[in-house]
Amino acid sequence: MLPSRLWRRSPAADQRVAADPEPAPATAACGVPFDGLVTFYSSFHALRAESLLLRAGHAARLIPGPRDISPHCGTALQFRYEQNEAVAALLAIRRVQIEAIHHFRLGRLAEEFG
Amino acid sequence: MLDCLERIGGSPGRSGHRMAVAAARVVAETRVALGELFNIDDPSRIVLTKNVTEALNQALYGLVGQGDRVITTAIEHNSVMRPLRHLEQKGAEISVVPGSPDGALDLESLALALERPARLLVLTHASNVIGNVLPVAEVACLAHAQGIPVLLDAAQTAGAWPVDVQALGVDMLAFTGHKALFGPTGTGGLWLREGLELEPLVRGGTGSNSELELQPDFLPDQLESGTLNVVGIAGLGAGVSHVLACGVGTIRDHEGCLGARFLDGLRQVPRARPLGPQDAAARVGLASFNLDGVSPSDVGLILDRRFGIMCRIGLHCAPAAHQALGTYPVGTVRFSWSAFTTEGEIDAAIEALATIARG
Repeated sequence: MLPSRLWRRSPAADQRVAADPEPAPATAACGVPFDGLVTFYSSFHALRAESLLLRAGHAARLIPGPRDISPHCGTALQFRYEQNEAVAALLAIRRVQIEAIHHFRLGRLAEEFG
Repeated sequence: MLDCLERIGGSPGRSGHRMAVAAARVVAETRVALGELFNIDDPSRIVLTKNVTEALNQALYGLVGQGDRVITTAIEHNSVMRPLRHLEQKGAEISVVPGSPDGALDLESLALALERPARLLVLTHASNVIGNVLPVAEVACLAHAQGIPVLLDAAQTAGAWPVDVQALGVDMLAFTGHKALFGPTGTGGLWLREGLELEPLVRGGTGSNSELELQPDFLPDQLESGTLNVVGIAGLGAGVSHVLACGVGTIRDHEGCLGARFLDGLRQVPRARPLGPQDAAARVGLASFNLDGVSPSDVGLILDRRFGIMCRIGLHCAPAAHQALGTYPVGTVRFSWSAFTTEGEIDAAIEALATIARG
């Protein structure tokens, strides 16, 4: 255990810090798992894509980029693959640079607990 | 910024966990807000730097090599002149277009300089010494007619004067966060138009292409190595959002009114010798002057100690500009005001100057 004098935070700060950034919902809608994945070269474009998809009413979630799919960017974007064409068109129009769009589901463990 | 420190704290682009994503979101939102402010289509071509000096260095060292010629003006800040003089020592050729005693750019000399091929033309949007705004769109048009790209130093104008990269027709834009964008010190950036390629000043980790030991060739990662100043960028984003909410036009009107009030007041101050155009509409929110018989350093000292008014005195890192104005090497007293300055503060400054001048 750390000696307490090394790390002492005010109760007010504790309260603020407890409010972690909210994680996005784990499934697309009504428990339907995400089955599409966009991979990127740059995290800026991953963030841009997330913002554009959510604003256009698509379900989307940023996740750590699965290494077996792409080694390039640390962040990838899940979406519902049935919206594949609309998503690809939206990202192209808004000049978001993507690596690829994949038909992809997380492994059972990640899907269940992630 | 406090929220960023206490709640976010992740490293953008380095992981996919919620804190890293939240940090990346802060950076992305700032980039998008900057894109909106400067009318930039593709915000991924905005590279975030630690200040405008770093942005200018990246642009100059990234583009100019041995044997290349660069055209610039005599009213530039040392953030342009020092890298250029260093590049000159390394074999580049530098042509400096002179300025007139009233701070204006000599367009005839510029046209002459543009007759010979050059790798780049770099100029400031507004003089940091006297605040006059240069006719950038006209200059860019002349340069492009000769196939010469233009790098604009918008340190004095970003946030306080319309900066629209498409209307101005510039090819690169360097800006600082800590002036009229209301960001903290340690923030700034560089935009470069599509098709322009720069050699990175710094190479290293970007969180992307981690399997490769070569620098990524796409923006912004190519020119943004190492962990970003996320806390500062959060502050910059908040500042830019404030500017967008107020509107640059409103801020400009406010600063123009304060400028007219300051210049009117200065005319009533005995022994005051204002410099540059006396039309407040033609300048950003700053003015340089001297009080005959009192050195700028004494004026600055008295203003600070007796009146609690802080200004900048001396050469303002722009020795050539002062040579053109005839105020080298002593320099001037420079006041500046912003969207947050009030008429009462301008009046108090004029009153203090009058008291010193009556000495």
